[in-house]
Amino acid sequence: MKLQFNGLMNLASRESYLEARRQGGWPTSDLPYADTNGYHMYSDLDFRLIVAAPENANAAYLNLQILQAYASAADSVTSLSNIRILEVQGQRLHMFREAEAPTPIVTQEVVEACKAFYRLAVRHITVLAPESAFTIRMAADYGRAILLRSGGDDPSESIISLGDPANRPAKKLARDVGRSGVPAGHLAINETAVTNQTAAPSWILVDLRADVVRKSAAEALEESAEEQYKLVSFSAMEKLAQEFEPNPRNPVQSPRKRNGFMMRADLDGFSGQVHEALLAGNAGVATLVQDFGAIMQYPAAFKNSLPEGVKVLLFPWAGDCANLLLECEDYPIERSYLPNRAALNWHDQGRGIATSGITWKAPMRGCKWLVAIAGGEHVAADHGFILTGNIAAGGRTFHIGAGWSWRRSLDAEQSTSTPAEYTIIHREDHSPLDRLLKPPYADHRDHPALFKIASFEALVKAQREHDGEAARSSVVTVASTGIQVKAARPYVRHISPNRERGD
Amino acid sequence: MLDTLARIESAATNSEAIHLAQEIATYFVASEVAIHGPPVMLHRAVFSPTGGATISGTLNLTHSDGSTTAAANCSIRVYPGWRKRAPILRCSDKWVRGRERSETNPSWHVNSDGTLCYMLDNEWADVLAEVEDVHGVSATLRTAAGYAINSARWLLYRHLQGYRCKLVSWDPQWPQWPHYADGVWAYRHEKSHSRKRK
Repeated sequence: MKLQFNGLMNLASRESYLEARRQGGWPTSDLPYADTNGYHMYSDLDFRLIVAAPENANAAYLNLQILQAYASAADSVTSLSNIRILEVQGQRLHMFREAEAPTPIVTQEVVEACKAFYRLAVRHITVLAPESAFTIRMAADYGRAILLRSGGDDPSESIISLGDPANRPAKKLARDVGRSGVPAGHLAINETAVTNQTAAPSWILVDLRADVVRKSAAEALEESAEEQYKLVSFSAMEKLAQEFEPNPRNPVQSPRKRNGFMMRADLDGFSGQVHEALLAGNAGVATLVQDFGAIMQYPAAFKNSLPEGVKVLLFPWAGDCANLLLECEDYPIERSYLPNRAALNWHDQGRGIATSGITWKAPMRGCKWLVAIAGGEHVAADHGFILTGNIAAGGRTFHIGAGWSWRRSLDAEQSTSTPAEYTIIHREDHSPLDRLLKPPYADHRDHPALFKIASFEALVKAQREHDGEAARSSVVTVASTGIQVKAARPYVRHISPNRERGD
Repeated sequence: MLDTLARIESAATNSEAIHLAQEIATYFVASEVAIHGPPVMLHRAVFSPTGGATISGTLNLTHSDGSTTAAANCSIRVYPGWRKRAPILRCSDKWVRGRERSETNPSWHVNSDGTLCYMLDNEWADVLAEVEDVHGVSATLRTAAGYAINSARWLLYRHLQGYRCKLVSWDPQWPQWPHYADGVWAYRHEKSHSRKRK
């Protein structure tokens, strides 16, 4: 269902969305969306790794508080401007300024808002973690994109964006500074988008720490935002004190600890499909939205493929990247096989039939997944868990996590030179795999110290050999005596309640 | 006199059972051994079904046909009649199959009392008798421990595989004896055939 941008934002909160659906009688599959132009701004908060990938529950708890302060800073600035928060993904924020054209006034407004946000965020995060070094980097791009309200099993209140102006700045931030990424304290803006949105991007850097051209306007915004911050952060606590799903009474002030693996699945090549749909006109866009709505059902089908001791907890989609926690009742047992099983099931599902009766291939449009999984060593290294909580911003709540595996899975998913239909796991998750499940993996070309990578075909072959091993039962030589005994072969007997065992 | 001899023999087999339990414990990652009260003579040369020892702890599931870091929390009870009856295996980990309904128990080699049947007692007894004839009691106890543990691990690992693959019943490609009396008959038939071939 196509809407104007403001209409879409009115449906962002779960309450208003469900109420509107009830009144309008829409089917779940009919996702509301807007096709609009504007500036997409992303902000990445990077901590010194020990806090960014928290090694233990205390550090992870502080991490979540910092992320709330960070989001509240964005909330304070956006509530005083024409900018809206689309997504809160923990250390990454996505904001949007709708504009028919990237005029100098609009562009300047975006830059000033970024500066005011930067200063406010730095100030408040420093209060929470005065000893921790951190950086904030931002990127912005202008253009046409499709904005969707999340649906399906994903209960989040995010607005997802599909299109180059949403994709490019996210990718720009994912690059290291050494490889033409964004330096700390800077905003990278794509200047060619102002003149030609189809041209290759050309980024100029704005120092967020420097004075702006319209000093008085920027300072006024910052001062107002500082006052607004107090209201925003108080309101966040009030909002989160209410009962809501999926984490009732679970604000970041009282996070939940969950054992398991973070899994991220990125639909490789889908950006190209979005580009073509935008060129194909309204019908092309409507079909793309319908297809993406079907793709958003993918995790719900996937979760049924896993053993009963593994529950799937969905986090908001980040564009065309699904984010899930594979929560494990018995984490040590799951470490011996689950990364391979989960990756195989996810990749393989794309070749099958959706519950709706259509094949997944159709909505996926020939694209394939890249899967990244991280859990971590749970004994010596105190990994293997994340803390989850809800962050309040922009009148909505965003379900996020913090912990070693949250960050490492993101690093894996954003790593470059990874082909489609491959799986990346962290080295800590490779070690405990069953012997026959290890061979498909090779060192990741760009991050050999961190990650291992395997193709779908190699995982299938290894799984076949591993499962075939269960059909074998070999004669065994007892090591302590050198005496050979018979192969294992189980039986079953009926035990009478009065049976004596002591003869 | 007969009673005295019976008591001596009972004490000896009970001691062997405890020794076997201690050998089995060496295979566990971490374990405790609980020694039970010795059998008591109820009437002439008939003893109470007690004695022996129970090992409880964490058992890694690597065995002759699989290498894994997975481990099970289980217990193994050794009785004085260890020569004739394989130690009793119990495991209450959630991934153990066949507990949903009693009719699924046999498929997963879960006995009617909830114990796991990793070994046919006739086969166990015959193997140990041959070993004891040639190598004596001490080697037999150590061999029995290795034999029991490998078979227990083998069965537990298949339960784990069943859990991982969401299998409803035992994979027909996995080796097993037929259930109940058919299993005993099949073993005797196979044993008789192998004697004839020799």
